[in-house]
Amino acid sequence: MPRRTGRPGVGAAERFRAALAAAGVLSLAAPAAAIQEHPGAEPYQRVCQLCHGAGGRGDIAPALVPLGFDAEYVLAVVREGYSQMPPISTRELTDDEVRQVTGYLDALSGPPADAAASTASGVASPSAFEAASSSASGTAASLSASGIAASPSASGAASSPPAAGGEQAAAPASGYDGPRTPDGRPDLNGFWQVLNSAAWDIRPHNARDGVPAGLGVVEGGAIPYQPWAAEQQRRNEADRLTADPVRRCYLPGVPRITYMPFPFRILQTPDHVVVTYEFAHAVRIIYTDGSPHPLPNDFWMGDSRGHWEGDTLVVDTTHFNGRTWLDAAGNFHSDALHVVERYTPTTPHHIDYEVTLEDPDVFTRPWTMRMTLYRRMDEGLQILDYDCVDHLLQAAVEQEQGDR
Amino acid sequence: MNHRTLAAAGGLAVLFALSAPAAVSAQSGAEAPRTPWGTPDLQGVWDFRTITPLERPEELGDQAFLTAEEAAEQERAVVERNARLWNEAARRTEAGGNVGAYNNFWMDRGTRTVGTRRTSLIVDPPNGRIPPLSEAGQARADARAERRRDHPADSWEDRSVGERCVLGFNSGPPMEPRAYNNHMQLFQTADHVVILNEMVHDARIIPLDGGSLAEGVTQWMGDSRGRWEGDTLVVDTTNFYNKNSFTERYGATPAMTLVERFTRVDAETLLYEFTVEDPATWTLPWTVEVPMARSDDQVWEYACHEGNYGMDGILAGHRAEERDAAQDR
Repeated sequence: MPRRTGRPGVGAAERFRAALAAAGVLSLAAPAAAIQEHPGAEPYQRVCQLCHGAGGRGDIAPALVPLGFDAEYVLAVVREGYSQMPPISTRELTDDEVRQVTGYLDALSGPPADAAASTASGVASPSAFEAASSSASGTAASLSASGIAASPSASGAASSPPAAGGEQAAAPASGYDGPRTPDGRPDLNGFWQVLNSAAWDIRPHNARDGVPAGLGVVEGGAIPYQPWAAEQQRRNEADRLTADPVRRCYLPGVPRITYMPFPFRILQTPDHVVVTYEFAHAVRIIYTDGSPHPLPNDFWMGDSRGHWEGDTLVVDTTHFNGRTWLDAAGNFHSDALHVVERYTPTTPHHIDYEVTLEDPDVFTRPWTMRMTLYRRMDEGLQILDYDCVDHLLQAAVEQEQGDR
Repeated sequence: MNHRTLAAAGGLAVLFALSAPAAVSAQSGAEAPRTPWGTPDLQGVWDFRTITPLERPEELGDQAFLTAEEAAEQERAVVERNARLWNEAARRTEAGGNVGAYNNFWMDRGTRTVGTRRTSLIVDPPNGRIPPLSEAGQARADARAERRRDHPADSWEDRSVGERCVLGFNSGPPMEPRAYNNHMQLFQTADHVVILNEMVHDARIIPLDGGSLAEGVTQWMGDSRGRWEGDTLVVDTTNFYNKNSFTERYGATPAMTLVERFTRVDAETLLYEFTVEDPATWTLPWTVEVPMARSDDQVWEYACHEGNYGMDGILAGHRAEERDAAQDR
């Protein structure tokens, strides 16, 4: 536990986490030694771990990292069960212990959306990352110190942890002067689509049969896979014609659904942004009502909660099932994926779409893709059927007949 | 929304989820809210579970309403049956017989009759029954029955659109209460309404400013256009593809006309009515009334095709039966 601030407990852990995030080392954030000293670690291991797994990663009961609930909500569920879990008595866990466990899980969960987004906006230069990661083997305290102080190349935002969140709140001016909704947000209602080849491969790639070439949408060009994951990606790519979940018409997940070569429609209310995608009639409800992620669970499309930072719609998506890919070239993630999308309209007809992916089980650090969403202007446009399942079966039969 | 979908995604979670109480608020009678642009505000998650059947049971003859005692008795019977089945010892299924579909705990028509205590959801014709088939409708019904008998599962196309995960079995349009996941969420702007059915993430985006879909373009859920008639949202749907869960179930043609009406009668209740007409199928139009209850719960993802092991099993089972039959010959 870093004691630089002289304040023990969860607050310190949060600042520590924010510091790491600001330095762009979130994915390494498993500052295991520091977090294991958290007062919530012991009660967690004693009572919760049996079902929820070590480090809150889930076992026979759902993962609790990232947590996304406040302590009082967790306390209520722990005591009452609410049909979600067996109630836990005060003899097993005191109220204070439950709050400590919540703090522990929070500390394991990484930063809140704002802080994560700040890593997305280019704060973390490669050198900052390397500087911080090279010290990851040191003690928690020295990591904390070096992650901040020994990263002169990191921008000013990283120089002081509390400032990272603060600066994020002051969203960059988008220069957007287009139509607005009655509640003053940029009016994103309408039909949108990408004009790129990210659906086939998000990396720079040459053309092949039926696949247009592309310069790639990954900032920095390369995806920071862990070694095993780089190997897995190569296997995926080799087997892509049968292994790609989208070829079986499974829901494509987020962010892949955004850059499928199909239009999607945004319908915006003050509390919700509903996105209906033509591909496989996928739907996302992005809650902009301030509600937190619900209890952890697995969804193909994840659970999306959004908020506005100035004219930017920031969407935080978690609770993936880990069975979706990022493109048709085998780029992938696990169920630990945490996605932060930033939709910034630059004109009434263009959205700057930036998406940061964090997945400590697959990548060595968070990384970012960026592309433009174009407003479809055709008159009378609407989202039509692309009932993938039905077409899939027809195609299979035709293939079989052709083979005979 | 429903613990079932959570369970489908979450495996063991189902064991803890079974006794989740229905989170439907009691009717309050509070006045229906309005949007900033002045129309009734129909938004929210709406629960259309009910044990009231679509058609009035024949033995009830011309009894259009249950007494309070009869309704209470029906509700009590459902609760008791659920409890009895829940406590019943597990039985091993014998191979070769009909292994059934789901355990009872998957089923969720709720435990309540509709508040009006009508004996059927059909309010017209007055006998609460689907009208007689027209001659052409009867001929098609006979042909379908014959096809089902002789070719129950030659291909997935012999199975329902629900089993194929093309569409939800209760999302229609029109929507009707069926086995489970009877929820829809409605979103509104000044010029559009979205109706998102929990089954199978089927969303209809309904323009309120007229227009129509190009002739020759057809959609599984048709093309819906809405308009306000006083405080009632009226939705017309045309351009149906060959079938959906409703037209398939009742044998209607894609030419069926459908008018749906949504009226928020109070803060807690959205009255949903629809009228279908298809002279090629029925001798008369018919009208259904389903009061939907406001829910504070959330609609969760229902990924159907992604876990559709049932279709493999159905087709493989029939192929096995065919092999056995061929060997017996």
